[in-house]
Amino acid sequence: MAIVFLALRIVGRIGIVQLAIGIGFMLARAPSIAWLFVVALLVGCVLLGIAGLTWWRYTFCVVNSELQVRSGVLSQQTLSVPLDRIQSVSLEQKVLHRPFDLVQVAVRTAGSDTAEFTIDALHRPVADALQRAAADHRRTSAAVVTVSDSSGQAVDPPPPQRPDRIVLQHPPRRIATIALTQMPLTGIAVVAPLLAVADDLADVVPLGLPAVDEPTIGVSLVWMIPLVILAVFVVGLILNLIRVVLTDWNLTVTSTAEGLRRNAGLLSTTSIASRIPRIQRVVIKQRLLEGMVGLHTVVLHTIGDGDFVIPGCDASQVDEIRALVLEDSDEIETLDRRVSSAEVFKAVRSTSIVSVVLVGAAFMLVGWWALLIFLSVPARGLVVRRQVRRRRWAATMDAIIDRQEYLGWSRQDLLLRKVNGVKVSQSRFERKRDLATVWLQTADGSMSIGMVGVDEARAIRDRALYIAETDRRAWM
Amino acid sequence: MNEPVDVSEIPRLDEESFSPMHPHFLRVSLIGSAIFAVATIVVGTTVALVVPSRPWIPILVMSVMLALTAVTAGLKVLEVRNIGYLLRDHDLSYRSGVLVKTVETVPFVRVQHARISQGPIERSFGLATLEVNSAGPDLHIPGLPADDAERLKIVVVERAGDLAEEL
Repeated sequence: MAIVFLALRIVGRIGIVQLAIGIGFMLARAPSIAWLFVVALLVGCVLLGIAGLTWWRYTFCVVNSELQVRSGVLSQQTLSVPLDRIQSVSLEQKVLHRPFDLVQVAVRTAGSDTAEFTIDALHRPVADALQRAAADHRRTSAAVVTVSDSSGQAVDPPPPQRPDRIVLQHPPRRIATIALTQMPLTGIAVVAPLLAVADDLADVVPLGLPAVDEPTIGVSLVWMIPLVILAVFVVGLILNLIRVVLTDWNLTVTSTAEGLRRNAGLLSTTSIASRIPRIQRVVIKQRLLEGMVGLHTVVLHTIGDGDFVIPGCDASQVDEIRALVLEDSDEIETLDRRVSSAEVFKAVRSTSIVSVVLVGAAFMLVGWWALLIFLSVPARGLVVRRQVRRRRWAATMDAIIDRQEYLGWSRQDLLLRKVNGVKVSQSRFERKRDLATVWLQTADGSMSIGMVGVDEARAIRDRALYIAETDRRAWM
Repeated sequence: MNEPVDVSEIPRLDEESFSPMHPHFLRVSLIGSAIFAVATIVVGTTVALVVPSRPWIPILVMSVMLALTAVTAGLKVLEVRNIGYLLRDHDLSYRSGVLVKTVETVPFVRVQHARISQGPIERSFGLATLEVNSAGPDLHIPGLPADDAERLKIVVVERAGDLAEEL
């Protein structure tokens, strides 16, 4: 089976479009169907042959705490990855895998943003064994560190051996709610080309629409505009529903002895597993529509790719995930710090400058109507004023939290021990007002708080550095 | 164990005690700009001569690029007073910028590796650039005397190794 999957992978690498062009070219030039058949047979045999050789030369094993992968047909490469460097082993079962109980395995390390390597078709028990071997190794090596550490400083306690526990499992109704609370933008992508070929479609499909003369099109088709918008909305909604059902069906988050695991998908099921320390930032969002049904989206940013996106969480599920991920960080009840209202002035000033330039350019085209552009200045001012008034942040000895709100809200939590670097910057605008921006950079993205007092920004920097330098708990 | 910490005792990064760059650093930067300007003039003039029908297009592009290069060179002159680095027990900081002034710091405990690069102009002035890489941000400290850069690299890598062993 693996040979067939490898052949499919090679086809994928060549590219479906290129293959289609090639086939089209041959169809146009082929002297006979029999000739085409022979070419197809030959190509198929070559593909299967290459795939067979690749499969035969591809071996992997776990030896002496190292995962060794040998591959290559002409020149052989050996890749050795120490088990303790493996950040995650994720399993994906596609539709074709399912009847044979196979999975695609992606092994990720901290060194690269993409998967270090993937194994296409592996029997599920073998893949599970590999996932466990990597996780078990991390756990046992962490335990050894704890035993041998005699300095008395805070180190990771060995994770307790506990059975897997399901943190959340979305029923079909919750999946539908998730789809309906997302903006159905996909519809536009589908409907736009349909509109472009609407004329030709109307000839083919007799919809009974009145024939319209070109010069009167602007007036008589005005009533169509809301209909088109409605159609775009409905199509978008349906497509988004299908997308969410396919990708997030039976979304389950499990707390395991090694960390967290997320399983989801209808036709292709994806399983991502990650150790807790690998999570660098926690973002909790609630969009406007989500707010109406009391749901949130939780995004756990992990090193490299493979972030956990968990939509459709209610308040208690959010709390449970936060408690699992942020472990023993101080709980902050109220976020009491604000950013300076100078942000509003800055936004209004920059919008004004851009507006003057745009009005100058647009005046030549549309005359006095160009002055309407100036309306963007108070509009932008009002939006930023609301954002600044509602933004809150807080800093404790081990975390920074930033909450931003406009129509929906988002809250970002960052543990200071995850910090890999800190930057304090001051623009001319900020320097004049004794303000600054502080950037806390992690191994997966950064978080910035701008327009805060310069002393406050420096204090956060000093604190983040102190914690990063002294905290002995695992940060990745 | 999670002992309370007195916030006032957390060591502060003193932004006034940064070591300035070597005086030759400005020359290296300006020579780079000058070479770029000369290359722009040569290419612009050649194109204007080869395409005589519309010579104003390459001349306009060339003038804009030269003006931008002049502005960049001016900013470099102003910036050089602000550039500096600070080595502490546990971290390395780099201060830079003229319109937006920044201080970047990378703790040694997060350093993955460090390396030194030396361009031909830098080499002729005996200068080098130290690059410190972490899993997050990277620090680029240009304009260091080659010996200092080498010493600094050894300190950074050794401290990173020591701290990794402590963990």
